[in-house]
Amino acid sequence: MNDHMFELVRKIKEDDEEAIEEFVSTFTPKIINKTKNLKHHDKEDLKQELTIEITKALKRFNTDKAPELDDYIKKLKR
Amino acid sequence: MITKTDKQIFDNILWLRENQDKVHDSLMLNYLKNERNRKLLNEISSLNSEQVIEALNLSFKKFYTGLQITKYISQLIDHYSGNFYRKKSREQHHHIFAIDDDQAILDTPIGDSQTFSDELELSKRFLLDQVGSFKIYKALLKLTERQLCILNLHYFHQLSQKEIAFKLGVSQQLVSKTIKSALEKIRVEIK
Repeated sequence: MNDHMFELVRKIKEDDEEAIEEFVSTFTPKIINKTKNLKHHDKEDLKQELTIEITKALKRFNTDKAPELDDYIKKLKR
Repeated sequence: MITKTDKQIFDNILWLRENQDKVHDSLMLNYLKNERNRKLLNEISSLNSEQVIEALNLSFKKFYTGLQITKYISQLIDHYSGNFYRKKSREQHHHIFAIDDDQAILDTPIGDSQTFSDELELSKRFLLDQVGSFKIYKALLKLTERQLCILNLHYFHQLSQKEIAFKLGVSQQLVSKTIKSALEKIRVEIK
């Protein structure tokens, strides 16, 4: 699941439209939950805006910030 | 040949293999839930330990980053939706204020020289709210802003054409023409 996310983000950074769709679809239950109290056209607005915001956020997401496994283990040993 | 740092990495991973059942860190537990990762970890003492370490490092990086992304986007959705709701509720409040403003217009003595075209714009809702017939309501919605505003002042606020002209800063003839054309438009719509 998380491996897949990583690959999706890599593709999104290369402007892969399908990857964006797939990524956003994994958050669909959450988005539906967030929009359920809105009127129909507001619902659509928020969904659309969220898709745009998510895409923007993923494009600027730095995927090189993860710690090394070794460093993480050192933390656990303490 | 294993350099010192490589040896440390090797030892650390070896430690993880020995202690994998004692780890309480939820992130690491989840990482080790993946069968492929666990298998890799158990192969650490094999001949190609360098490759195993490399594979473990890569899978850990993907796992960790994937987790971060999920958390980050989840927070983004919460945050953005929260702002969206606040914005919508502000707009609704604004609407309530608009009606308050409208009341102020009614209370303003006729002939007051103060211009308040903005409030007049908002006041058009009054007429719309008073219409009993759905047909006429629909027809009113098809009018221009200006037509609706003038009809509202004339029929709902009972201002004379001259007073409307004065308030809007236009000629009386224009007011007269606007009312005439608006009524004509309504007649055509409801036929």
